[in-house]
Amino acid sequence: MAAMSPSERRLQKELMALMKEPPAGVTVDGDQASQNLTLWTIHMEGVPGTLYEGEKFVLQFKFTNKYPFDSPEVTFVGNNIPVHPHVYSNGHICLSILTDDWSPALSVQSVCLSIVSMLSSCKEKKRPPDNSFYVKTCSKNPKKTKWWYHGMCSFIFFTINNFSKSITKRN
Amino acid sequence: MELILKPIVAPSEKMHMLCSICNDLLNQTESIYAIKCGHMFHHNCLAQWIARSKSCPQCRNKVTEKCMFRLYPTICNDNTGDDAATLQSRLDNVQLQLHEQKSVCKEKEEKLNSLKSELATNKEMLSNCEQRLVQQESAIAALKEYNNCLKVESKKVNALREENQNLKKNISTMHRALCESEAKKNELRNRLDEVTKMLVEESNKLADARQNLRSAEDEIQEYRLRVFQDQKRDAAQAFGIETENIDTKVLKIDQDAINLDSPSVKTLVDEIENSDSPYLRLKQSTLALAALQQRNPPAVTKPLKPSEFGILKPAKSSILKKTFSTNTSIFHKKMPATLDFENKDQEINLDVTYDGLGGHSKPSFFPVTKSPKPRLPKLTAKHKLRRPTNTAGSRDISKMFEKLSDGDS
Repeated sequence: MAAMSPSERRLQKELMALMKEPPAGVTVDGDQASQNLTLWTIHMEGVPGTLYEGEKFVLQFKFTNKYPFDSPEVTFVGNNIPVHPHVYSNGHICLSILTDDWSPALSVQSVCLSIVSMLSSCKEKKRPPDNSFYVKTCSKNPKKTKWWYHGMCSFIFFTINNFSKSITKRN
Repeated sequence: MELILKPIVAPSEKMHMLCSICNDLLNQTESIYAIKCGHMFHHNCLAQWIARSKSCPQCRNKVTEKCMFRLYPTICNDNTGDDAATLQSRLDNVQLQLHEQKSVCKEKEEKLNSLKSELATNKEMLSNCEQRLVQQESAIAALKEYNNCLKVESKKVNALREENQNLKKNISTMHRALCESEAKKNELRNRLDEVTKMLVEESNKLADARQNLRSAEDEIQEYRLRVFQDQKRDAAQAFGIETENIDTKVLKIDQDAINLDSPSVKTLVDEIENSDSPYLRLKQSTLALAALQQRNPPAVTKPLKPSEFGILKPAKSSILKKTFSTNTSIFHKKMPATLDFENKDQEINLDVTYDGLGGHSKPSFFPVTKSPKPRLPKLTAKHKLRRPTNTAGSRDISKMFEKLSDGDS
């Protein structure tokens, strides 16, 4: 315990911060996360005034011992998976910061905010056009998918990028 | 650089810079690097990230080796008191450690509890086992004692069994012996029955034979009477008939009477007469000779020599008297022979003690049977007839016997 690895130290700090000051509509399962720092379960509520108002979702974060240089594996789990153009029905999320655009300056909290903003910015509740094909052929790990961020996705990417930038600036 | 950084934070607060990669404070002890975009990181953290992606973690601007440079901030070391931020971070760290220790403690406590419960159950089991052990030991002791008792009893039983077997053997042998004796008894009984039957038959036969004999004797009597009457008549009619003729007649009648007897008796008599046994020396005794001559009268057929006559005559006369008075058959009622001293000469009276044909009893004073050593030459009828003077009379013989007996004694 005394000799914690840098990833564990950072995860512990993030967990403490998230438990102490959680963003609106985001709560972390602290007991489970403290038991196993590499597997977090985060409950998320649909932001009022959006298409997902009143809905509850469960996010799962899986970390490797190379965090924060490696991005976490983030998927929606549970019964209610949001119907969204960038969320597949198996819970995989098409989000560039989770793969190519990951930065060690990002944190669990910033990822959660990005997903909340992604959901909030949705104009129409629908599955991705290649949902059924992807669900049949994909790997269990969404990080192994070679995402092609098409037009719609790239638009969102930019918005998220701007959003995260604004967050960092605020911090 | 400090001049640049200072306006970012409030002047009242001390400056606490964070590395956004590891979320730790930037200390002067560690090498701090900044990129030309102005973001600062630990050198270690930045190097790791640059190896992956040549972009600023915070603003995604391009990063090259040239645009990275080290910072050397000067930090004031007055210990007047820690500001809230450092205290907070320390508190956070301590709390984090506390939290960790608590969780560890919880785990350990749980383990301890489980071990305690296990210990309790084990203790219970141990006590149970001990109790069981004690019970089983006592049971084993009891069983051992019982086993010993059983052994003793089994020994006894074996001894009794052996005794029983011996007794059985005895019983069987006894039974066998009993069976044998029973069989013998039965056999003997059967034999006894047979013998009694035979005896009865024999007695019956004897009775028949006696009857026959009696009837024959009756006939003889009749004949005698008739002869007597005839004699009387003849005497009356002709006085001149010689006595010898009468004698011959009487002899004939006698012969007839003898012939009338059963043939078996006759053969028996013959056997006795002709026997060579030293116990039956009929032919040596004058009496027997007389009897023989009576049956086969030599006087009639052959002329007797004077010496023979001398022996024969007195014997004959005595026998004749006897035959007339009693019956001539030897199987008739055997009367003890009596010596007729009146009519006989003194020379032969010793030999006429018993009727030789009537019985086998011998005079006690005459040990002829006891000492048959002096074998005298046997006298057959022929022999006697040829050399009648050999013995020189019964008197000489008796004298010889006396001498021998004296010598023996």
